[in-house]
Amino acid sequence: MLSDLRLALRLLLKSPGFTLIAVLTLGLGIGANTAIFSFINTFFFKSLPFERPEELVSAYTIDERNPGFLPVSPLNFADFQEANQVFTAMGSYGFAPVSMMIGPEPSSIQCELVSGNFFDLLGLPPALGRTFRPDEYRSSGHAPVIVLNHSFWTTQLNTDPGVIGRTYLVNGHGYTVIGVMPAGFRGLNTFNNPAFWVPSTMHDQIYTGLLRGFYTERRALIWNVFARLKPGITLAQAEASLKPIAAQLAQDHPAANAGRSLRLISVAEAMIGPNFRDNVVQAGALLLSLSGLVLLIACANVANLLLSRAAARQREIAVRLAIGASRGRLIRQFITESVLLSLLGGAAGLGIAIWTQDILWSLRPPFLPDGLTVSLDARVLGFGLVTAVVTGVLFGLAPAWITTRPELTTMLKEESKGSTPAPLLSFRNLLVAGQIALSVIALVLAGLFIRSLRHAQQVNPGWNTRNVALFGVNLSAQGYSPERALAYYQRAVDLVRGIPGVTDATVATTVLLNGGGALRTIRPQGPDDKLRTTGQLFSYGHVAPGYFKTMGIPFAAGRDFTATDDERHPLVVIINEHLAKLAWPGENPLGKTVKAFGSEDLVEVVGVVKDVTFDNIGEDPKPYIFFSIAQEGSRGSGFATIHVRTQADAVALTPLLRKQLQALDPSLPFVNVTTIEENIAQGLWAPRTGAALLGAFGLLAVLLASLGVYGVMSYTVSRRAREIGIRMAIGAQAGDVMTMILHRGLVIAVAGLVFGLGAAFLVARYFQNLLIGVAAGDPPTYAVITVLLAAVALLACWLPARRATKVDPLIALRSE
Amino acid sequence: MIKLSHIEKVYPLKGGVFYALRNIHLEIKEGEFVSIMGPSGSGKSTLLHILGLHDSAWGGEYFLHGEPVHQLDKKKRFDLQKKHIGFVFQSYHLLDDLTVYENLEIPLSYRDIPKKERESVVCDVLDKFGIVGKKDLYPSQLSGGQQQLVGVARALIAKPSLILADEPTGNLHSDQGREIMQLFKKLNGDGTTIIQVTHSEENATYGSRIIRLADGVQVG
Repeated sequence: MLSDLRLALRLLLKSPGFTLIAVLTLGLGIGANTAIFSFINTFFFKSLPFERPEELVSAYTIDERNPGFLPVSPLNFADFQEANQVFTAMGSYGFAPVSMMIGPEPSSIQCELVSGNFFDLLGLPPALGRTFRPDEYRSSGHAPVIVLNHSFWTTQLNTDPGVIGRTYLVNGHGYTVIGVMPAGFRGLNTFNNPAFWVPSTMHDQIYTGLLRGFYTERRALIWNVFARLKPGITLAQAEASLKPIAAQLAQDHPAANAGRSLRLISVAEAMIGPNFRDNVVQAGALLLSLSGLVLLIACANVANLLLSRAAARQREIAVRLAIGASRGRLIRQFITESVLLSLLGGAAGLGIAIWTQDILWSLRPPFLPDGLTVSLDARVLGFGLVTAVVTGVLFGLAPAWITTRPELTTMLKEESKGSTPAPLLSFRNLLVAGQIALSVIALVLAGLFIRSLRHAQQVNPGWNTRNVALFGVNLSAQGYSPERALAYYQRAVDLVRGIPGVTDATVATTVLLNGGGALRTIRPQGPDDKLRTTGQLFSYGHVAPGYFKTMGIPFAAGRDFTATDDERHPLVVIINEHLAKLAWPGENPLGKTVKAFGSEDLVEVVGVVKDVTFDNIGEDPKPYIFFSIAQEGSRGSGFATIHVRTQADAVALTPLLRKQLQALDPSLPFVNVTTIEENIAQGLWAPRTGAALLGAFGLLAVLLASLGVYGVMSYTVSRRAREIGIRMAIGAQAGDVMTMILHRGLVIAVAGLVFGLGAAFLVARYFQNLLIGVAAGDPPTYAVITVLLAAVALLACWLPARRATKVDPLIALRSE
Repeated sequence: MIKLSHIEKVYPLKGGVFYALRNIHLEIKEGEFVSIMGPSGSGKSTLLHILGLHDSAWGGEYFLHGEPVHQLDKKKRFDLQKKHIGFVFQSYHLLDDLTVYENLEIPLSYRDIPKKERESVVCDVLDKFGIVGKKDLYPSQLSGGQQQLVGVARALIAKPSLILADEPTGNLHSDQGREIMQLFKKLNGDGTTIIQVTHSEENATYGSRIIRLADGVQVG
């Protein structure tokens, strides 16, 4: 074995050009896969830092009228906690925006309100200090203590060694730091990065705005719930035992729980959010498939290189067989050579993966927290190593198998002249056709995602998205009463409207094209109660008068909110056409009434706006309802956003706007200061990143495949030099030779192209739901890819064919 | 040692079959030095490759050391070849990427002989053939005669009882050719059976018997 390794190393050093090309080719393939896998590893395979994580499950509400995994209401959580027999304990956590005094000015940050047993249930000790004591979470409002996230401690508090015991003002109340969690722990959601954790008994101080009211609403789904299974209880058994409890809760509280039940999934699966886990898995599968295609093409290239080299080593192989080498021994030697080559490729790939990691990380989705790190851990290194070894065997085995069965008698008698072309269905030609097919798949997917991005960028959302600056505020976290909040909004709008360059301004609790916000149960009233009894959740927002004019959302009927639509006047709403059609098909919606979750008051529809794109580019028309911000002050005083329409670039005016607004309340922190256009750009992260990565993979694939075609055609020409010489000596013209070589190359290319197009269509259909406005069988994409690939294949064949026409018959025949 | 009966080698062609060898009967005793002669295309090399078990597509009976080669499967033939036969080629066929030492060592490694023992055997052979000073050189750094010397040493290293040589001096000038033939003579004297294919009447005189072929048929 050692001698095989020594010889392999010597052979690689002897042909540095071959070695360099092979190592680089493999490095690109293995590097692409390793880099992609390092991300997939971070999201899917990283072991959870909890005690016996396999016992931990997450519990979600499922609602027969609202698809997906929904959180659990605090009241239902308490009932499940008390009635269940399958868990050693249940815990909860819920996101909460708060205002915290870190320096002289308050900062708006996110924390998590967690059950007191949160850390004990996870079995996670703190890095510093302690976690919550039972006496701190038994009664409400008596435990103003927080446990810090390690990344918050290091980045915002300068890793203050004396932080334990220090008190910070949170929402205006003093909270004492009792512990710091270990580095890397961010809670139970990969995409969250809360600054600290606070016991849920402090909900009255931590929750502001509408969240505060939700705490005692059985229908309000605001908590994420997890639990530890009792020894011997499986997830399925636990879920089965919870269903009767859920049914009882639905019977006891039909208004809140009708149609609702509970579902369990493992915490490991819940970490990346069960509602978009499928999409993340599909995106990961897409990227890994594409990088896998690139690796296969690289393998095919190197296999062809090895076949060419093995052809030149036929005499050596024959001699080895003649002096006693068994075929198995020779195959072992060949595999040793190819695995050594692929390990060198793996090392190069690792370098490429490290080098590209920062580039890939810069393409991360905007919702990924900074605290999340993608590292090349042992699993990624193992993946790279296994990929390299498997790759080595994969591309080494076929050449080894084929070239160790020579006609010994013939080979020992004379050198092979190789004057005849390989049969059309030779392994080498099949490899090239396969490469072309794989690159067609890669290019078609890349083309579809690029077209999808272009389509998404050109979609008209139906309102004016240009030049709108956004300033988020959380007034109730600053201690504002609803009345003070409304007054602040009015002053802010009046102020910015007076600034030169500002054409209009308004306030809303929702920001459009921001991925979607809160949902609310709406019950349209009418004789037909088919819809009003469904308990369906609808997107909603609270807006100020003039909002629709400022945003450019056209009215279909009725009127806008006015200054008199306040708490002293009858409640009114504005809905979109889609909701109007759903609730009162064929009827005039104006004057109809709805009931909204949290109130039994009737609310009258006074306006209907056109169906526009509200939350996400590419979304289907969806029902939407707008409330007057002045009529539900307690809801509107939580998170709200000041929208400022400017004449020119909103980004340029933002510093001035911020300065002026800050003067209204110097202690008020602004959050999410951005523009609608930036929100759109962030919303298009997935198609943009998909198009960029798939485009890069597609180009890499076509580059490698064209090199493969070129290499094989060059080899064919060199092997057929004698035959070409003879043909030319007996009268063949350059055109005849050119046609002969091109014909052969193009037959292989067309076979690969046809097969690739069919396979690409099947693969693209699987990823159809990731595409926006483009079908998996989009004819222009297939047409362009066909022409592009045909041109590349023609060029790759034409260059060697041209060389064939330059063969000098005298030299070719003499070299025999 | 060798007994051939009714050996035939046939190539099927479009116009009918072509006999490369026809009805060969031959007996070679241990310790003989036999030369196979004949014009080009007479079947000399074909016969040598059948004797050397490189070729398995032939008819008739072949006994080697009493073993019925014609009845053995591929693996047993391979084992028989490894145990008894060494080859010397006209073009030396040394492995270009291995040193002289490694070229001599490799047949032993294919026979799974332990490294320690291989070292000792190779050193003995280097010494015996007077090529100790060349052990670290590559074939391209040797003259034709030196390469064939290494080729003979390699053929002998696994101590075969039979050496098959295909035009062993064909690529050498006359002085070098004579040296190789004298070496064969000495090896034969030490007990190794040798069968060579040659065009040279002079080389044939080193042997004890000549087998003549013409058009695939034994004529003398």
